Amino acid sequence: MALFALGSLLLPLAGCWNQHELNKTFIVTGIALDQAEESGLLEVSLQIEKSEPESASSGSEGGQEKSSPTLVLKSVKSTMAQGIADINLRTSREVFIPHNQIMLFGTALAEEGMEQYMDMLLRDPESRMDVQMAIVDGKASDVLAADTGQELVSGTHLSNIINQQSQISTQYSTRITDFVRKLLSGSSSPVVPIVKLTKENEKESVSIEGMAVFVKDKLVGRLSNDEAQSYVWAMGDVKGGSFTAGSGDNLAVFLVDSLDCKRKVKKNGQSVRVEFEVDTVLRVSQIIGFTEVKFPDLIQKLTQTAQEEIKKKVEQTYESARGMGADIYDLGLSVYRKDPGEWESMKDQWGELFSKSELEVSVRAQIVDLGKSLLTIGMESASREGR
Amino acid sequence: MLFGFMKRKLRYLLSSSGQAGAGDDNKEKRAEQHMPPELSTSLDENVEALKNELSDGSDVKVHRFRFGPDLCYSGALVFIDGMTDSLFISEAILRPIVSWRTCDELPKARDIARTVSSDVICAGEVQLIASVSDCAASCLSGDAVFFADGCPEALQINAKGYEKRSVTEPASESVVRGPREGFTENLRTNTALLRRKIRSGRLRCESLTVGKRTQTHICLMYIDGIADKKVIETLKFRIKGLDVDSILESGYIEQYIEDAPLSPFSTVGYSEKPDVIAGRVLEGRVAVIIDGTPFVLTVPMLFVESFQTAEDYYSRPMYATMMRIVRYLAYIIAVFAPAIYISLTSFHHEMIPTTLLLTIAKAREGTPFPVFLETFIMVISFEILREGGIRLPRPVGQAISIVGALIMGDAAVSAGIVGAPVVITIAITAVASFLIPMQNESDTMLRLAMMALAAFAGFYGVAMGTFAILIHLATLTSFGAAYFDGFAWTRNLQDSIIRMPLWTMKRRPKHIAKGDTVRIKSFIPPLRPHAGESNRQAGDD
Repeated sequence: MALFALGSLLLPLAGCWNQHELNKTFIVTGIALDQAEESGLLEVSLQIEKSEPESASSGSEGGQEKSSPTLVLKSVKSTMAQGIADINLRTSREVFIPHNQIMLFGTALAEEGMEQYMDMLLRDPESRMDVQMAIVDGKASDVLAADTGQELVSGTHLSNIINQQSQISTQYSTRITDFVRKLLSGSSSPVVPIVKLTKENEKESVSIEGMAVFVKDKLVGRLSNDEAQSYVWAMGDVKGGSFTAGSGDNLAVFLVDSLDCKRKVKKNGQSVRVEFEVDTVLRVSQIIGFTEVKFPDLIQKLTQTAQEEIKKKVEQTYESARGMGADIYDLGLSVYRKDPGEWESMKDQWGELFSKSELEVSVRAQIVDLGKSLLTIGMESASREGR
Repeated sequence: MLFGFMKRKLRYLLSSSGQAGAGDDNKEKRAEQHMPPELSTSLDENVEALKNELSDGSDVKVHRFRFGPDLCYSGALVFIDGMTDSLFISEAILRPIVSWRTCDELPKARDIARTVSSDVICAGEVQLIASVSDCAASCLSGDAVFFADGCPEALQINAKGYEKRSVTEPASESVVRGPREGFTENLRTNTALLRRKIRSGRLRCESLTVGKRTQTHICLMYIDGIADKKVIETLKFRIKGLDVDSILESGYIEQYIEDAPLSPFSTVGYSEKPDVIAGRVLEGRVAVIIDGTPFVLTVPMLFVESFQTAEDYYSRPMYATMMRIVRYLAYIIAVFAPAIYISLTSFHHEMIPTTLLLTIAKAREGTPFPVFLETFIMVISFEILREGGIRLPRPVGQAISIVGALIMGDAAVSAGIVGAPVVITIAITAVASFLIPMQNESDTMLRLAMMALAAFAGFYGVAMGTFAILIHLATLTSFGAAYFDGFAWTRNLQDSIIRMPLWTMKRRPKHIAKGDTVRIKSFIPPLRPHAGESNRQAGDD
């Protein structure tokens, strides 16, 4: 009996005392970090889902202008942790971070270096590591305040857009853990989607406009949407997307069924040769022109066009990455994985080796489906005239 | 642990007081045996003494008459009006006696009762009795008592014929498939219903009488050679040790004989359906039939029994298994759903998907009370409504449920007193709790306890509470059988969470049946019809 009483005294020692009522918390759906106007300070913005009781919101629907469903709280402090603590003090409720959907960084901040902000996100037991990251073209807090009209909360909206893209390839999205992992690898450069806020007729919309390339933790350049696509191709395991190939009047739009790429790094004395072997299965979505082509040659012609286009794009993107000195393809990592000893010898001069590296791309495309019709209308009539 | 201690203490107190009571009773009985108020030879005295014993009630009827050749004898018939069948009394007792005119040799006055019993009346159950108290007891149980002048013995003639309910479909356990008859308030009807299910000479029926004032008849029924003798002995010991004023319902007996009187879990099973009781008796359990109630008790009871229904065995095994799993799930929901809701919304917001959390947060916005209080209010108001629905006459009960549904489901939510998710949680809890009527008492109690723990320490508290419940359940016993036995790997699992096909249940449950444990000796396997046919041909040869 005494043992039981003593034992029961131990139970409360296990903790779990952080009770918080749901209607006394602010659920954070997005965090934005920007450089403050005063130098050296940081502007922390938290997007909070305004939870109005359902009956009240349904009552005000008739004609009245709907207020924004979210609230953005800001604080200017020297560090992120202080900023969040400050917001916590100034608001009537407790800020609840674990449900954060997206982490946004302003461009100016990213150019300065992001390492110090990562620390709080990794250290804080409440924040989650699998939150999507994005760089905002301009001021990050503006995106949080945007009323997109698509989803109630723009934080959720953004993370949904990024998730949608990562259905095609996981490379499109970068979570905090991905970013940190690339930083820790020493050679790889993180690539983070860029979010752009556009305003048209007083209607705001956010979209993904290319990707930001980092060297170490500093933003050094950008990939356009097209470049981002070919970057994703080079990383392999693509399950969707489309591209246009061809020149002049002869154009074809291809849907990517699946695309894989083998990346090989070969050391050649003092220089490095990189080989990309792209293997893809395509379907044809639209054909314009190609009137002079006869049917038996069509698939071959299309395949060739697609292969050339893929090769060209991948090479271009590689070129711009090499120009930035950013190893976005995890090439250093693949050397290390293959032969750690060799990597030891290359490690120190990897930046130089990479910027002097040569690329060879080989593409093997396979068109499996022409769609419901085999030829275009133009092709049909051309062949009839020929007959 | 706490329960165990209290249980032991209480059992000690009960057993010591029971023994003391039994001792007193024996003394009284001995005193009665030494000086029983014997019947005299005077008719008037006997009738007066009996009337006295029955407090001269207005329903005590005394019919005096003269009979025999030349009307040389005078006699009287005493019975209680309403307890007897008047047609039977006039046709089978009075008519033969009064029309008895001839005999070869006139019997002596002191042998008249014997002669009447053997030669004259046409009743099936007649007994000679010699004491006033016996006469009173037989009158009270609905018999007629015949006195003759000059005879120191009386005749107890079974003329029971009180109003009783006919065999109807039980309201508490209705079935889609299966017999629709249910037990009634009449002991004999009930024993007959059970006998009709099990036509075996080994089905034994032992009668006991309990209750100083109510003199309630109790019948223990079991199959000799299957039921555990120890269980029967324990049961008899516990029932015979009772020296109580009254037994009005099976619940009285249940509370006096159960192993764990302070546990939220009932350790004595009950049913209103003869087929259910027959099934349990065939598994080696002992049925306790109590006069005056349609509910028949069975011991020992296992926890799994609460989740078994008669229909499980009448429907296909796959479906029965699925429904049984649903029932277990429903029990878990009934106990834990409000607690989990409280834990999630007041401790572990991280565990809710974001969209759901935002929805719940919207609903919670503006509600005045903490989650625990809100849920508690809803649980209590549900219990109030349920109690109201049960106790009130049916038309008023419907009004209650309409008002309740409107107030609870709609008005409270739109007024912002409680959030809609709470109403949903309580509603699913309530519906789930109806699936297991046998454990309704335990889940209502445990639900509140779990809610308190959840409000106090979140999932940690719920986990602690769950452990406490499991420890308690594992320590419970019911008449020698471990309460949780159905779940043990070493035991028969064919009939626990799953219900295997009947032909796999070749033996009776090991933990209950003793002696003849074989249920199926041989059968033609339904899965191999050809093998069966060849067997049959071999048998024909």
